[in-house]
Order: sequence, then structure tokens, then C-alpha cells
Amino acid sequence: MIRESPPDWLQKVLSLVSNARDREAISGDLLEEYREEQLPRLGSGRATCWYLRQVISVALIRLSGGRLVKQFLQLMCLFAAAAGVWLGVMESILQHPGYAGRMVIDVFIVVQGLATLFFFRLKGSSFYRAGVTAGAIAVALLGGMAVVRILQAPHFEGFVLNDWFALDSARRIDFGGSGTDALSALGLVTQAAYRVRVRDSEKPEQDCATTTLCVVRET
Amino acid sequence: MRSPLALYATLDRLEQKGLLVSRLEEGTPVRGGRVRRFYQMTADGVKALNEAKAALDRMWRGTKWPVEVKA
Repeated sequence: MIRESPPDWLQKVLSLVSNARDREAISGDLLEEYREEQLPRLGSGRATCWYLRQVISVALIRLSGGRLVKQFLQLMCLFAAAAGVWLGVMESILQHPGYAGRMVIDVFIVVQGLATLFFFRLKGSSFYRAGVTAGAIAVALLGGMAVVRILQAPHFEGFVLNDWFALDSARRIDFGGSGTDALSALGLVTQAAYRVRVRDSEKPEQDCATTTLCVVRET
Repeated sequence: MRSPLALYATLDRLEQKGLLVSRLEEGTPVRGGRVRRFYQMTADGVKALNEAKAALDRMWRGTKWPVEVKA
């Protein structure tokens, strides 16, 4: 007797989003529930919808557990690194800062800071949690401030490098709570201080709306 | 059972705290031969359960059931 099963692609998605330890047990539980309870009661179409909801909930549960978050943060860093390289090339060729690229990097920082805050399920002492949370808040605020400032200030020397350090610090946060993570949190807070210092050192005479306008004024 | 997966995260946490232990056993044909995970309470788990039950009992003691809304 051939038993009816959920679509293959959904089962593959389930195996991708579930963790290695429980992968087989979870898919077995869902398959049993699908065949024994949902399929006879709901019919094929609605039973498949039920299965889809379960797959989504597995993904969300795993995401909120912090495992996928780390991969997400690493992906963010990869994008930021690529944006930094592109920005560096554009800078060397065109001899002016790429505002769009800088905007991209700073938006990454905002997203990364907010994601870090949203998905915090930290273990460890209250001091450690407070430190890392402060770091994440700092990153989110700095990203937001930077995006606003991009629209006002023409120069961004050092910002790309600084952004990369901030992203790298956030990436190295381990949700297990070791001493290295506390250092990473400290790194995030340091980025906040650096940002404030850079902002304060910006000179009024450099305030052109865009680099293009600065060039026009010089010529 | 509305959402069997809601249990997994809770069971994982209880196991990490040492209140449960689990073992895998071979799956049945209806599961496509996939393994089944069985959970068992540890001595610490039984103690925690008893404490939780006692706390609930204390909370309900003296409360008239069903609870009524005062106008």
C-alpha cells in the first residue's frame, strides 16, 4: 500500500530548517500526524497547508533559538564586506566617496543591530547580557545616525573600515556566553564611542550636500 | 494535537537543564521508518515537577472556583 505523503519539496525544506539532532524525529512526528490525523480529517489540500504551517513554525522556532541568527549575521557581514570592497574600488577609480555604497553598509548595520536585539536569547550573567544588549543598541543607533548623516556630510574617510569593525564585532557574538563574546560586546560599544568622536570632529566647512556639488563649487 | 512542534523547544530546554533525558527508537512504517524520540524524567525533573505542583496548589489554596468577575 502506498501511503500519501506531503509534497517532497516541503519535506526537503523541513530537513533544511530543522536542526541535525532532531531532524529525523521531527519529520517522522509530522509525517505520522499528517497521515494519521490531518489527512483523514482535512483532506489532501488542507492537510498540506497544515504541514506547511508546521514547517514554518520549525523555521521560526529555530530562528528564535539563535542558531540561524548567527548565520544571518554572518551573511550580513558578507554583504557588508562585498559592499566595502566595491566602495573601495569606486573610491580609487572615481576619487570620490560612493554615497550609495556607504548607505548600503550603514543600513546593514541598522538591520544587524536590530536583529541582534530582536533575537537575543542570551545565556550568561546579567552583566554580560546588559553589555551585549548595550552593544546591539549602539550598533542600531549608530547605523540610523549614519544613514541620516550620509544625507548631510560629504566625507566618509574611515567610515567603511569602522563599519566593518562594527559588523565583525557583532558577527563574533556567540549566543553561548563566553569571555570572547564579552569582548565583542565591548567592541560594539567602542564603535559607538568612535562614531560619536568622528561626528564631533566633522568640520562645518566640509558640509556640502553631495560630493558632486562640492566638485561643482571647486570648479 | 494542534501544533506538535510547539513542544520541541520546551523539551529541548528541559533536557538541557537535566530535567529530562531522551532516547531514540526505531520508527514505524507510518512514520516512513524515521526514528522516534522518547523522553523520560530524571530525579531532578521529578523533584522540579513536585515543587511546581506544590507552588500551584499554594497559589490556588483559598481561591474560590470558578473565579467570578466583580461588577
